Amino acid sequence: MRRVRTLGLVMAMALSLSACGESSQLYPASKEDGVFFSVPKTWKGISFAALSKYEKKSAENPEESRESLVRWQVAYSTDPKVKVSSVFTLKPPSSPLIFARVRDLTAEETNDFSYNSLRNVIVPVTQLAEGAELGVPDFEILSDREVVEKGARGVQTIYRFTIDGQKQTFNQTALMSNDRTVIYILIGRCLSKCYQKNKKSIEEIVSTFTVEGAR
Amino acid sequence: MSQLEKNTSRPRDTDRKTRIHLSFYDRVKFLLLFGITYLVLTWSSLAENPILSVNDALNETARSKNWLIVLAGIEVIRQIHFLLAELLAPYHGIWSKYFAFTDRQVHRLSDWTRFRLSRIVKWSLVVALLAVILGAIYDEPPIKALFLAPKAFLSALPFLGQLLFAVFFVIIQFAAIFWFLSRGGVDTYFPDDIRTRFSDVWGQDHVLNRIRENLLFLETPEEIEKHGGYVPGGILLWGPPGTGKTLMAESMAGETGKPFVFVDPGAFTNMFFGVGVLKVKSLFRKLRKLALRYGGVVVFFDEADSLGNRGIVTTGGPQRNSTMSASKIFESHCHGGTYLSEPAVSAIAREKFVMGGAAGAGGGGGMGTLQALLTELSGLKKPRGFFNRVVRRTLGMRPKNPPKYRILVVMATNLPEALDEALLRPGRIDRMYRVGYPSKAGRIRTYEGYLSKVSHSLTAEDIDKIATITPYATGATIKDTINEALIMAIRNGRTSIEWSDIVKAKQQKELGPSEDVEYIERERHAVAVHEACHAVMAHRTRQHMSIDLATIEKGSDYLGMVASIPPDDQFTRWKSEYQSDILVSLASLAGERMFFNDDNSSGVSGDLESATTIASLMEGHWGMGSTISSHASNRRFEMGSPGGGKGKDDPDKQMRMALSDRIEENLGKLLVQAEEILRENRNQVLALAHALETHKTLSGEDVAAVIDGQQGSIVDGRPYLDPQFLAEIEKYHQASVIAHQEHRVPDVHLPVIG
Repeated sequence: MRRVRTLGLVMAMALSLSACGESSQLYPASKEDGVFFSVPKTWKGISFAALSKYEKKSAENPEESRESLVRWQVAYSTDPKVKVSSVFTLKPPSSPLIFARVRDLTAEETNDFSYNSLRNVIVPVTQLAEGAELGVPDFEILSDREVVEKGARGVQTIYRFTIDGQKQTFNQTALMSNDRTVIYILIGRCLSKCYQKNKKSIEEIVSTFTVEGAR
Repeated sequence: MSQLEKNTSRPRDTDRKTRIHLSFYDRVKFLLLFGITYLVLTWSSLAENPILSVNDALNETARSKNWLIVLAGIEVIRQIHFLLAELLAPYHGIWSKYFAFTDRQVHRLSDWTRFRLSRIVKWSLVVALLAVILGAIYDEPPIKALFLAPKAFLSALPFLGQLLFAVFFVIIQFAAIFWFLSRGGVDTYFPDDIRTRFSDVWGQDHVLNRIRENLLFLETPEEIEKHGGYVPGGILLWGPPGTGKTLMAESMAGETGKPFVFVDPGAFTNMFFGVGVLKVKSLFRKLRKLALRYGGVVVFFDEADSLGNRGIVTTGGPQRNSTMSASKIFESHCHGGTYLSEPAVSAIAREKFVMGGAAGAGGGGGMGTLQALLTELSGLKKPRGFFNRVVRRTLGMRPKNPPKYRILVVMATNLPEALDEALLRPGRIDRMYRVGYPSKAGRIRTYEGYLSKVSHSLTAEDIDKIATITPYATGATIKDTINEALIMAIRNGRTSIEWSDIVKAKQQKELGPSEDVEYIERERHAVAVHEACHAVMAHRTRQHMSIDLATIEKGSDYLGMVASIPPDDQFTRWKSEYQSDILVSLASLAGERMFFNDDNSSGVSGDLESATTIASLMEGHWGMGSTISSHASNRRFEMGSPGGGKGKDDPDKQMRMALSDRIEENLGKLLVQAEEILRENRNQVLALAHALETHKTLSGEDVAAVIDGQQGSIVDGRPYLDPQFLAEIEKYHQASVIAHQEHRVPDVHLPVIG
């Protein structure tokens, strides 16, 4: 009897004390869209609002901008001084940058989109891989595989190329929802040297990318 | 003793210096609750985010739901406080004083205010908790979540509707079945539906006047209400069958300008428990509606005894003499039930069939129907209607008092004993009217009424006469008699009723058809002498009854009879009258012994029974004997009767013996008296016997004419004064006596007048 009581007391104490710890990860997620991933706690995040604001402001032609289609986007970097602008340029960041984005597809895109379209979502990967003369001589695909999630499917492509004289590595996952209306993008990128250094943590982040689909 | 108490009693809680020790469960229950809540919340965030690790989920929950930690902390502090109070007396003392102080402060507020405050606090807590829970569900701030809840509720409505339907499906089925079962048995008539009027009810003017009064109050209730009275709400019409109760109700329906609701006697006989209650309720809902719409309503329960009672033998109330059929009680061949007066007959009937009262409790209604009816008749004057009771009260208004429903309840029964006592109390049934046998004037009116519908040749005197000789005629029997007379007239090839048709119809109805049996001569003479003794005795000694007819025609259950009727409506009975009743009864025995040389037939058995019963009641109950004390009371108090039973082995037996001795003594004296009277009237007895043998049936007038030697309506009595003819009759009688003894045909045949 005594033992049971002690056990109960210990349990109650343990439960109340376990609340004093700190979680090891950040869990950015859009529950409405069913997108989850985690980044180390030390990373610096750029919020949806900040990104959207920047995108809206910098759009040259608001009509062509896809900002209005964006449902959710968020960016993380190990650099505590990371700028919003660095997210939206192809200029290679010196520290790892993670960018996740969920946006609606237009009706045309819904009709057109293929796995290749998904590969070409940032840069024209397929054309470059075929050797098209687009001023990027050293383009190479390091890995290309199909990804099937619960709520979406698509491709993960890792590629690198030189831009502005600096070699940059992309870890790009582009998925299209099962009902072909939403595209989920997660990009981890860095200077190739930096990527090599942070490969483990970047790949870990990419591996946590989970798409359950909209509720 | 007090020392012992001190040692063994558990100390009072108020005497303790420290707090009572809490049980372990009480110490940890809230912490446990918080712990479980924490685990549930963690589980919920794990379920929400598929990539979350358990550890991170625990941490995350602790961070986002830090109020839980705060509450747990407070609880820990509280428990430490309790622990200190349990261990340290001074610490507990301080807090006890503090709480006593706050208690005093709080109790300055009235109990009602405190109740309301605590209710507000409780409701706020419930709402707050709901907000937090909803917030967790919608992942929104609690306040916002609270506003989202109604929307969620709306979207869930179809599902809730389905659930409710599943629940109510069965209930609806039951309700429908009961609704259908509770239909029927109630008919509503509106003014002008019924053509019967008060003028169609004859011979019950006193009751009609009272009913008219009730209807008047129903139509102009202000008459009585402005003076502080109230409209009588119920009438009970009771009395023998056929006296016009239902006709009265019908005429009420025709006469009143209000709707008339007729409740079938079988309406409350139901298959299922509770249907009767529903019926009563729906009936009264209908009545209230009609009463409001038309300013009043009359509801009539026919054969109200079908409502039954709750098993209590009713006492008091109207005097309830069950009128039993005389022929059932007097099964002897000489019809005692006919020549005795009505109260004597009912007294004998009551003694013979130890009155069952309202045996067999319950009855038709049962199963709460009667109770429901009682409540509806005079229950709480409660506010009715959803709007009135709920909406008005919600708006802080007082419910309106129910309007005065002017419902006149009329019940009719011929078994008032079977009604529940509670039904008859003032406030439910305010007025009880006995619809008795119609008065002579009423009977004349009734005869005139029914005769006016046929063709007849009766004079006003004839009608008066027939009304006189039919004292217990009711509307129904009068109608029947007239109809029978019409049948007889038509059978004789006439279309108009004559006096003889009426008399024959009356005899046929009262006595049944004669069996047309021819007696052998000596037996015919014996029967004639028997009846003549009754008739002469009645004629000589009895002033309160007059002879209606005397007959020696054999009927279905008698050989001959002398029927008597009271000449006027009489309500008290006297010793002398009962004595002459006994004399008339005993006349047959005295006469048979006298005329047949101390021989007598078994035909006197019925007469003796009647005589003994009346003598017993006179001696033991009515104070008409040699003692005063009531036998009924003596028996109740087990005290024996005067002059007997003291110190004997079986006091009750002794008492009865003493009583029976006295009765026998009285009867003996009266028998001697009867013999004397008959001896003095020997010639009259033989003359009447001769007239009976000649004519078979004599009317009362003719009986008197023969005895007094006068001219009657049919028979001339004057020849019976002739000594020579009397000698002939005497000779015939002697021959009959010899024939009787030797069982052969008499030598002398019946003498013929002239």
